[in-house]
Amino acid sequence: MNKQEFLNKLRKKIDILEESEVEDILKEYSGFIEEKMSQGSTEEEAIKSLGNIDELASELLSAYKIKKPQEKKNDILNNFIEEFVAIIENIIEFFSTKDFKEIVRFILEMLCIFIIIALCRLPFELIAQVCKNIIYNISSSLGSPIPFHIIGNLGKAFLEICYVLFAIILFIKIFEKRYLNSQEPNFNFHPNPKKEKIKEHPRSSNPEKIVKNVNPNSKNLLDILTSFCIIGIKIIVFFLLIGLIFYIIGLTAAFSISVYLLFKGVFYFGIYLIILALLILGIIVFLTLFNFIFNRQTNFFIILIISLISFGLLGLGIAVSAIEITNTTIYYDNKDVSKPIKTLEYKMQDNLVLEGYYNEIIIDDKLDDQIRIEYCYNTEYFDISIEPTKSRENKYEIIHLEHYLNQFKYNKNMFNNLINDLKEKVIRTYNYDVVVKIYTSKEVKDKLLKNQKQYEEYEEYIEENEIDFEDLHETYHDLSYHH
Amino acid sequence: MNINTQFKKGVLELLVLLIVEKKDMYGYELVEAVSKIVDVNEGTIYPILKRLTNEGYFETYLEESKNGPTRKYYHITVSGKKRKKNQIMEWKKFSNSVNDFIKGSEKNE
Repeated sequence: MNKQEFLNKLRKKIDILEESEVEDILKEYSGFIEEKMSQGSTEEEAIKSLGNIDELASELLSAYKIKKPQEKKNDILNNFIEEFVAIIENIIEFFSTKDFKEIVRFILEMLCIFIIIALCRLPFELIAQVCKNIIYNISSSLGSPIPFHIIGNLGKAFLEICYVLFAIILFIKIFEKRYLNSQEPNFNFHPNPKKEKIKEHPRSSNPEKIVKNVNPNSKNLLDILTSFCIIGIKIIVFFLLIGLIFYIIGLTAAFSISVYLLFKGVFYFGIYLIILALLILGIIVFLTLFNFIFNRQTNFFIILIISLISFGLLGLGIAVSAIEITNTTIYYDNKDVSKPIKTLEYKMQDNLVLEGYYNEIIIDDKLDDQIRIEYCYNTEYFDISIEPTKSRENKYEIIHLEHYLNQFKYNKNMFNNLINDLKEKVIRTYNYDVVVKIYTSKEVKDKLLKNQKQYEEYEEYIEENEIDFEDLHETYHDLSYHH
Repeated sequence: MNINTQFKKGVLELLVLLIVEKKDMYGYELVEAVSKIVDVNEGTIYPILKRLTNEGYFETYLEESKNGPTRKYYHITVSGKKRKKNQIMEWKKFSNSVNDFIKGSEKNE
C-alpha cells in the first residue's frame, strides 16, 4: 500500500466529516508519512507505523463525538435520502448566513419591543378603570355629575399622554441599550449547532471580547419598570402555558385517534395533517414560552424553520381536506319511525290537562273517552324511558308527559359501521327523533284543548298576581282546620 | 508494552498535554516525542490531537518550515493547562493506589 492508496482508503472511511476537516486530516497524515520517509523509512514502513486503518478512522471519528461510522450503502434509497438531506442543509446554510440572521433578529427584537409596549398598556388601562369607578361613585353620591365628568375626561387624557410618553421612553431605552451601547446585541439568538466547524485560530488573534459599557449599578426607575413589566408578562405567559398544555393534550389525543383511524384504513389525510401541524405549532409555542419564562436559551432559527414547515403542512392539510370533504357523501337517515314502540293510555276526565312535549293530536273516532299516546323512534340507536307524572293544581288534573333518552346503543357494531362508512368517504346521520302522537276522538280533543287553554289562563292569572302556591295551600289548610 | 485502549488513550492524552505544554509542536514532532516514551501506533496520536483541539484544550497555528511545507503547530490553552493538572492528579491517585497494592502483596509473599 503506498501513500496515495492509504490516503484514499482513509478518506472513504471518514468522509462523513466535513470536507475541510477531511482535507486537514489527510494533509496531516500525508505530512507525517513524508516526514517519516525523509528520516530514512520506506513508504511501506511509514504507513505500517500508523497502525490499523479502521482503528485509526474510528478514533478520528470519535474525536468528533461520532460513535459509529455509517457504512455507505450503494442502494437508491440511501442515496436519495442523503441527497435530500444535502439539499436541506444547503437551504439551512443559506438561511443561516449572517445577513439573514441579522435581519431576522432585528425583526424579532422589534416585535418583542412592541409586544412589551403593548402589554404595558394593561396597567394604565387598569388605573383608568379604577379611577373612573371611584370618580363616578363619588360624583353620584354627591349628586353633581357634571364637574366630575370633566375631571374624569381630563384624567383619562392625562393617562393617555403618560402612556405614550412611557412607551416612547421605553422604546428609546431598549433600542439604545441594544443597538447603540453594545456592538453585539445580547439577544438569545444562537446559530444552530450543526456539525462543528473548527477553524484555524492563529495564535495572535485571540478574539477580543466586547465589553458592554453598561454599569450594572446604574439602575434607574425605567430599568425597574422594565423588569416589572417583564415579570408581569411572564405571569401572563405562565397562564397561557397552562392553556397550551390542555391544547397539546387535546391535540395529542386527536392525533392518536387519527393514527388509529389511519391503521383502520380511514384516509382523511387533510385532517390528519392539520392536526399534526397544529400539534407541532403548539409544542413549538409551548417550548418557546417555557424557555422565555425560565430564561433558557431558545434557538429561534430552528423554531422558525419548524414553524414554516408546520405552516406549510397546515396549508396543505386545509387544501387536501377541502378536496376530501367535498368527496364525502352524507346520507340522511330516512328509516321509517312511524311504528309505535311504547304506548300510554288514559281515560278522559273533566279537568284533564296534557302538558309536556308531543308532536300532534290525531283524531281516531274509534276511541271513546280513551287517550292513547304513542312514542315512535328508532330502536336501533337508543331507547327511551317514559315517566309521566300526575299532579293536581286547583281543579285541574295535570299529566306531565316526559320521556328520557337512555341506553344509547353505542355498541361495537355501530362503531365499526362508522369506520366502514368513513373508509368509503360516507357519513350517515342518525335519526334521534322521538315522535309523540296522541290519539283521541274529536270530542276529547276539543275538550283537551279547551282545558289546556283554561289552565294556561289560570297560570297566567297566578303569575300576574304573584300568588305563591304554598301560601295558597297553607291558607287552604288553615281554613279547613279551623273549620 | 501492550495496554488496553481506553487506558492507553488516557495516558497518551496526558503525555501529549505535558509535551505540548513545554513547547509548541507540529504533528510529526509530537508523534516522535510520544513514541520515545511509550511504544504506540503512531497513527493514534493524531486523533488525540484532533480531539483535544476540538474540545478547546489546544489551539493551532500554521508556520512555514525552512525546507518544506507549512506545518500546523499545536499550542496549549488555559483550559488545556487545567485539564493537564486534573489528569496528573488522576494519574497520581491511580498509580499510587496500584503501587500501594503491589507493595502490600509483595510483603505477603
